[in-house]
Amino acid sequence: MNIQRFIAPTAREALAKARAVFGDETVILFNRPSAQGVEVIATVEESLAAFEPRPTVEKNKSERSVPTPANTNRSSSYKEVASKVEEDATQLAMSTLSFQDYVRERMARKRHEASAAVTTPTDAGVEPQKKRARGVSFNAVPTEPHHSSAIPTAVAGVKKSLPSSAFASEAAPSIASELQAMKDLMQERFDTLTWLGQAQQSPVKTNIMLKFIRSGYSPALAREVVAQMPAELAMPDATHWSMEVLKCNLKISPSEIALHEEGGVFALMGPTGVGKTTLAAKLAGLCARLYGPASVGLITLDTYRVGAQEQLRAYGKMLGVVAHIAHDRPALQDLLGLLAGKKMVLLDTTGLAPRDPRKREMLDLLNLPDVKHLLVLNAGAHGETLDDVINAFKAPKSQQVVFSKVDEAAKLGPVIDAAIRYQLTVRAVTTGQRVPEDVEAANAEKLIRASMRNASTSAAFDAKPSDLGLFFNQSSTFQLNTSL
Amino acid sequence: MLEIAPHQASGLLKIKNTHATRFIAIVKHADAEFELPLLWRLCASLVELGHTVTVLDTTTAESHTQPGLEQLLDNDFFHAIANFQAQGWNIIPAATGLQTLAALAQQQAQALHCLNQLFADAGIVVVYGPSDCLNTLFAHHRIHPLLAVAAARKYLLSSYGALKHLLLHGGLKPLIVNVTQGVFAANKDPAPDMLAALSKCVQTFLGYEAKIAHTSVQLASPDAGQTLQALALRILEDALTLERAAPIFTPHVHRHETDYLEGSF
Repeated sequence: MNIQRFIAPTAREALAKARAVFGDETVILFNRPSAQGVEVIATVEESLAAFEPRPTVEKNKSERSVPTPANTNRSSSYKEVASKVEEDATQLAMSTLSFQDYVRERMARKRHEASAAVTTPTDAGVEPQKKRARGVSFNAVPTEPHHSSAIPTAVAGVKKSLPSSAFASEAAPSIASELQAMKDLMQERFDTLTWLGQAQQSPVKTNIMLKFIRSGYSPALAREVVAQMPAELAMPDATHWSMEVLKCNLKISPSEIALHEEGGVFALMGPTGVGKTTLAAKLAGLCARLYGPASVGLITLDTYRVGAQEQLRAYGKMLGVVAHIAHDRPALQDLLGLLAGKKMVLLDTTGLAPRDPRKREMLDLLNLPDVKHLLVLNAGAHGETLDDVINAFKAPKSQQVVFSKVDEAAKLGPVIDAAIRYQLTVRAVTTGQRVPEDVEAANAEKLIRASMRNASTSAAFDAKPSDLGLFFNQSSTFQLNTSL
Repeated sequence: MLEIAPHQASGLLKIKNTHATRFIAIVKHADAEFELPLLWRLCASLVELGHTVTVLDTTTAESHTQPGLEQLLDNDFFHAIANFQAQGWNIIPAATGLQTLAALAQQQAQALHCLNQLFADAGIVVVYGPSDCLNTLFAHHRIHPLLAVAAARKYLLSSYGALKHLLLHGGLKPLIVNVTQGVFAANKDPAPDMLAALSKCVQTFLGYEAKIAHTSVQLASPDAGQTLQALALRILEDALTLERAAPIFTPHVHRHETDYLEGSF
């Protein structure tokens, strides 16, 4: 079954595109507004011919005409469509009863609207439904003649011109929400069918999508990359192209200067246990190695965690660097003034959960000029956890991040995915526990290769090709740069 | 990568010069009523932070019963047995010894070098003395002596005099800290705006903007520990760090009787 999606600024152009592909035998299955204008899902009529119902219901092909959305004489063809879609959906282990009924209801309502346009306001106009869509109560439609006599003529005249959605919402607010739910369900089903169609046509894209999912990238990013992939690429070239796109979109420090060489005041932030204190010691060690212990300043704001000050002080003592403590903003500002002549000053902060109420207080404390925020992300964290952290520690200026514990991460896909989607600048990665050796500048190519190299070793979490249909997502909300 | 280090921060130990000694200077300008309690509390904070502290008390002279710097300079044997690292806190009388050192050293830098050699393993050396003594040792070095002031009028003149002497003769810019509470409190000729008055005098007559610690130290307060710790870290940050170098000057004054060996410090 060949189902394709067409996007254009207007519905007319989208339909024109569909007809350009499928010709006069175009069948419009679904349309909706999208960010780029209008999105239309269409197929070819001969595909529908395969949806002949099992009981032999002979159709006179000569009676068939080019279907248009305004043509209401296709109740039998739509039944065929619904039944065929039901078959496909059954293969995908989806329940389609509601979809089937919904299609019937939509067609019935269209017939009602068409007839109501030429009848008097007192005319019922609505054929009694033999079956109702699950969850939709058409009993709420005010069609009883004895009620209509009480309706003022002006109001009735307005009522008959109302669009169907307003008509439904007027009847019962729940109907509108349920209709929206049905619409979303149908949209999702058609998206899945579109994907299946594309997958059948392009095994390369399917394999690339599977590779992305297995590497831990989000379905949204994977789909965005695959959607823009040139169609003529073979598998090796497609893999290389995909990796180049990821590399192009993963922001690394443009100047390629390491943190300890760049210098400045850095506040290390992030949730608990990501390695902020150890990272501070590593950066201090690297700076001291290059410029001497006198070039480094250490300040801890962590007065909560047991042993936090002692830990940083121990590292400082080994380095010959004093680790100061700041309890409040005046103390912090005073210390920053004291350490103004240092090459690098590192502020170690308390680890805070994304929803910790103290987070706002800490962000306000660190909202000082010349203090650069460095968000530390655990490279092995789950994608949604990373999203929470990034949203919680959002900085007004461009966000700089460090990937910690890269050596412990089973998959690097989630953290790289988050960095791409949120346009974060990756400054460094930590690759072990050794201080100060196990930290290095971020290298996009190296990270992408490592992420693709990590094959899933756990069968329970390994995505199979048959699962791809479930990794569907709506249109992405971020723009990917694919101009290589 | 495959070698097994003693601990994860072994790499840091290669960076630090383990033989570097840090010198801290504390100015004596008034009576010991508030200076000594402050000195002891600061030393205690430094010891709590894990440092070994040796105090050179230039206000106390050495003697037969209280050997100090003079004896260290005189007899290398004392230097050999003075295992400063083993003890957390050492107090050494140094009034005579410092004068001797200044007299023998041909250049001011030699005196400091000699001290650095003598106390190479001492960790932190706190030199407590008047401004002229500190100028002898630290003139034009990157060190900020700690100058404590209290809210009494008599201390305004002495602190101003000490600051002026350090600034003009030694090129040293002290850190001023306000010490409150205690027996020297406001009932004795109080000067509530002591710091403001001192700053104004220094600005007006010396053209210098005084460097003042942002928090006052209330020695009797329960929160004094936190303030003193912050102050101790601050003066440690301002300390003069000298790395161990080849000795260029080895003073030998004269040899004493071996009964000096019985003295302990």
